[in-house]
Amino acid sequence: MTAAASARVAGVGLGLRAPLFRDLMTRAPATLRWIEVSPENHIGRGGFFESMLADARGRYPLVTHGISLGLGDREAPPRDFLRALRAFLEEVGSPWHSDHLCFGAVDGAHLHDLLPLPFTEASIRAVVDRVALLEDALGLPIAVENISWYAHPGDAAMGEADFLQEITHRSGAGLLLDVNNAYVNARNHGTDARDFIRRVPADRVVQIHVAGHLTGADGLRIDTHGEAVCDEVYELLALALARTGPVPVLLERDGGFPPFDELAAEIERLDAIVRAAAP
Amino acid sequence: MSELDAAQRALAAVCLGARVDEAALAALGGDPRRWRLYRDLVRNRLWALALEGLPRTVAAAGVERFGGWFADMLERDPPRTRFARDVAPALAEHIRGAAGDALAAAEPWVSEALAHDVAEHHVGLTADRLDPSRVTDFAMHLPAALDPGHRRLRLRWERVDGEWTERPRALLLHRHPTLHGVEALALSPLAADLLDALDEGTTPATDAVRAVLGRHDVAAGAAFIEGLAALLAELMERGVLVGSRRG
Repeated sequence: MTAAASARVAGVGLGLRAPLFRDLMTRAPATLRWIEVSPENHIGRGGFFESMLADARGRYPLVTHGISLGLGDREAPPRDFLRALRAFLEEVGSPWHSDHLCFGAVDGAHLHDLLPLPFTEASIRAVVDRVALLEDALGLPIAVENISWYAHPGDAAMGEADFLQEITHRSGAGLLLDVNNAYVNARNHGTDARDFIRRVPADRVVQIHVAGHLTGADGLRIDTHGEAVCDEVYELLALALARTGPVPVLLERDGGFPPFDELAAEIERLDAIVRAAAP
Repeated sequence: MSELDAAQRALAAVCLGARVDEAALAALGGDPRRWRLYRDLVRNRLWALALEGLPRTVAAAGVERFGGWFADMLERDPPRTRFARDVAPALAEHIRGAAGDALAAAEPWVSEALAHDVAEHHVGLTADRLDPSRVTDFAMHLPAALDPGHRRLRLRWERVDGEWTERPRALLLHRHPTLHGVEALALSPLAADLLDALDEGTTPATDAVRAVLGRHDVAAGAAFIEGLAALLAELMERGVLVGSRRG
């Protein structure tokens, strides 16, 4: 990553989504400092998405966040996609590229969801190898994001925080710490989200995600990005920032879009937490 | 097969099978309700993409039969695209492969709806465009240059009072040059043939127009010239006719 590209991305950002675009370009609060884009939404796509990206790029620094490179997929992504992705990352000037610690494709079939990896040595090795391949192919640092997981395949050899520690330590990857996912997992599995935040490798965190989630009738929390951020997640963010120091914080909103003023208020509240955590 | 491979294949089987694979569910361990949740999340997401991308097909075939094709695709021919936007076209391809001939023979309106959906989807998303260095100002003595992102459809069926009725018509689908939405322009039979001829790519526009006039037994009088000029102007305004191809 170039120092200049990295330095431009600070404070609070918002994910680029078509329903938000007009408000984003005309009345976003000044505290909104950068935009996150998913290359898979734009690569090879013309029309509105091409125009939206150009406008966003003219106004904000961009950071890329992938949604299809399941870092634990057994098959490597095809070279033509990696070439297209690299060209996209260079075009938008992203300082790093992130994707999820999950799998999403099996035997060539893409399931279009974030499916859980077992917390095992085999998963660690698979992800470490994939990070190396991607950094070589893309020419940028990779950051790995912890996901919301609702079940664990087989027996876990370690806890999630240790899993993240091992992967980031061995691969050198950055960590995109999703504090909503940490909260969802803790609630769903009866663990302590604050303890998780205290145990993740803070020195590897390059970015933080914040989002809302759905609470089902059975109490299960589902990571939807379609609801307002809850107070407990704001508190976790403050705790995380106290450990990591200033890193860019992204508000994810992918559905259930409220009036933009409500999102603007969330951005302001996040900005206040970021400022309070600054040294 | 490694344990990691086995776990991933087991969860894929749980999510994609027409029925829940109980053996795979057992192999994953833990609370089976949580793995069924993954099945719901995966299928609901893909279903939403299918409905959004193929609305006419759902309406023409009925949601139950459409759901059957969807389930069959997931089980036998799951989407191999990493792009969510390409899931609906993948389902369209699956339907064509699984039922295309039967539909064309017995329910051509369903085949037509599928073609219409796929064309509209393509027009809305495509990044295809002509290389500007290959295009010059429009001139009748040069081959016309049409935006490659547009699609032309010749449709036969329309639902009238709940019945599928033959009503042949031609449509031009294109993207608005600045607002980017997909727009449809109804074409007369003569205009549709003119557009086909102009899009041939190598024939000078004058010769293309003459050939169509001959087929339609239309004289190149003042009324035709006026109509042709209006059509070309409209195509230019809509960003479909972008100029002429350089020699």
